[in-house]
Amino acid sequence: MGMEKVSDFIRRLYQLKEGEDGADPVAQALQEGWVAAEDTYDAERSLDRQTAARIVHGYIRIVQGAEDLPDITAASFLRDLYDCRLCVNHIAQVCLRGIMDARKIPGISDRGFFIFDHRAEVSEEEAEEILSRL
Amino acid sequence: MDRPFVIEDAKRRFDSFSDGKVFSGKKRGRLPAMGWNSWNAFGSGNTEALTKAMAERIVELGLDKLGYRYVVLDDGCYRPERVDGKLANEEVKFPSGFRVLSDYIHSKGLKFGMYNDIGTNLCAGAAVGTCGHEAEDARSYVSWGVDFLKVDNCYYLWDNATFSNPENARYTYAPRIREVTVSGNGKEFLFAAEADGVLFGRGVEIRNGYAGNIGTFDGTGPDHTPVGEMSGELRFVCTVETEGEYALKLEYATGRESGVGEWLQLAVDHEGGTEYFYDDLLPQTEGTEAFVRSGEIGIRLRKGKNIIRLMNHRRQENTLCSYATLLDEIYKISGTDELLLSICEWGKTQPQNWGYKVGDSWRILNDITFQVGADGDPGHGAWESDYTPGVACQYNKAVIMDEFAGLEKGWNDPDMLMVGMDGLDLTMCRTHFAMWCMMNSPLMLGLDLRRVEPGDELHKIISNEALIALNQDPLGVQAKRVFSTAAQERPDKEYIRDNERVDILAKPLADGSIAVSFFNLSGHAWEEALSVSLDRVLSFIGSRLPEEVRFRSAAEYVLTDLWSGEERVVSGKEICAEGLAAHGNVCYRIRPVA
Repeated sequence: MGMEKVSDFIRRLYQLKEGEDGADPVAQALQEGWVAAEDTYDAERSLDRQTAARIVHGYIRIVQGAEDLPDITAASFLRDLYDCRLCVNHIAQVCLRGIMDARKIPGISDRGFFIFDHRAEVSEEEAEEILSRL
Repeated sequence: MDRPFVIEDAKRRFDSFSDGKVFSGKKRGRLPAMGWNSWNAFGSGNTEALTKAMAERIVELGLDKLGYRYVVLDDGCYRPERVDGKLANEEVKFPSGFRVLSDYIHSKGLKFGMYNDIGTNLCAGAAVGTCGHEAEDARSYVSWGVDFLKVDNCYYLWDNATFSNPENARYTYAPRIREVTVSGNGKEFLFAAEADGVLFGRGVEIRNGYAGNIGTFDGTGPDHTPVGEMSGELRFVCTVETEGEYALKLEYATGRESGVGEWLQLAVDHEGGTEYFYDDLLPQTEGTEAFVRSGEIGIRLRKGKNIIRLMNHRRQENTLCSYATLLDEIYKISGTDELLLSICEWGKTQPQNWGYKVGDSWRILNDITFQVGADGDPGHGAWESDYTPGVACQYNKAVIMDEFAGLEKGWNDPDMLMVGMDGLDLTMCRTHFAMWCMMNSPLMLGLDLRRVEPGDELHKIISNEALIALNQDPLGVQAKRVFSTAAQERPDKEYIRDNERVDILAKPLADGSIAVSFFNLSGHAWEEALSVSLDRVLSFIGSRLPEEVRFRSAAEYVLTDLWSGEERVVSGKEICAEGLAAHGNVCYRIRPVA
């Protein structure tokens, strides 16, 4: 399996929502407000974990109608949580709900150190796993 | 752009930060901005329709009459890439374009604000940052009638900012330096960092025989005090008999991480002033401990004492240059200095040192909340947290930053108001608002104003004229903390992050009165009565109070409670508060009776 593209991830979410493929799922998702205009720009790029978190967070809020967990302090176990100020809530919401997992830091995660690993690319396998948890 | 600015103008250098001079295009004498910004209310989901609704609501609620003038579009309003090299509106959310929206805002008697970034992209991702596009973007903003510009710091090329390459640290720290040799005119001097180096400023340290951490430390997080030196230099004193040219060589090692970089600035201070001889990257070494000898760098020494300065102030200088370039273009194109520039680099490069030269305010930390709202969702604010979100964290830093603020400079910005967000009860909201008023912070509302009705509790807070009058007092002096139950010696300077405390702030006002506030930071009622003497208050702020003698010698004072409006006359010199609620406050305006 290869790496997941942004457009494929949105298409798969759209399929999950509608039960079928749409004509232009990225544009449809943009219209519905659960992806950003930035996702339409270079949508064939590889999906990274922080983008996946943002899109999934938008999906569960807007499509599934989930309200945000008000207290996200438990997510601060992620050592890199604040590395991206715009991603903090997206990452916290999907991690605290168990939709995306933290990643271990080799050698020291047994002492409680985990990261989100914002820029890491999402594999097709990982994307499948995320979708299965929605 | 493949490298940072070449700095030819000394006024953009670190050494000029304390000269008190501002750049063309920066207007002095402005009071803190007041208005509404879309971010806390709607995040990237703001739209033209919502913005118009907010403008209408500002007028309906009478907020415009109280000074709330600026309506600011934050991130999420542009197309994701430029169109013919220019900024363009995101067509789903802002279908009519920015000029139309600007005209609408202006037709309401309000001012129109927008947002951009000094990096390549905006924080939400759109590839339309001003970096390298300052001139065309300035033309756009002028043509759209923009009155206010908030400028962020994501994707910045010359620092390891949010979304930037972490290896950009190479620009912000000097290499590690173990040894310096200076030769010429028949002499050779050897300076070892450990034995001969003078560590100047803060952060720079000697370890394993070398000097490291030569740069400006990152102020985005809450860990460090904003008061004092924010950077460090390694210096050597070199006394020569013969004035002339000399060759300098370094033994150094580079890295691309916080604390060790590749960019070196080399200057010599002597009686005649300061001369720069190197301001560039040094060749990369194989590792941060792999020391090598540099090539020769030509320097000129004067007869007598010379101070060789090895440093890297580029973190501050580059950021200043980026903001200055944008402001300069706007100034040239608009021909006025009316545009208000809100610097939003999150305190990363210690803008309290340089922000006044170009900006009207400067953020002091990362965001006050990461849980912004959306249409139908008020978002979530907190009183405190383990990082920057929360009223208390922002306040704790801003409250000791009064020395950096003023009418001739600009204002510390502890971020936009969270009044009305979930997670803050009304007591917290009142104290939050009172703190921001006392500290002369910009008052940018961050809530969906359709949730506010005339006379309701939220409206009473944001429209408290007596408190707004403190913020907008023409004397323009940020309050000083004159007492804290947690302070050791200097309540006005100590960086206190333990919220188990009550602070007392005092603020001189143009009419010769003084505002005094008691803030209970803790999560429980403060049963102990607290008081502060007016003599103590005057010892901190008396020199800035008009007619101090009149205040000091008054036999009686009128105390006005700024929440209830109740007045009473007191004849003593003690100002008291008791029974402060958890997260509560008491605010007085104290006027001497002739």
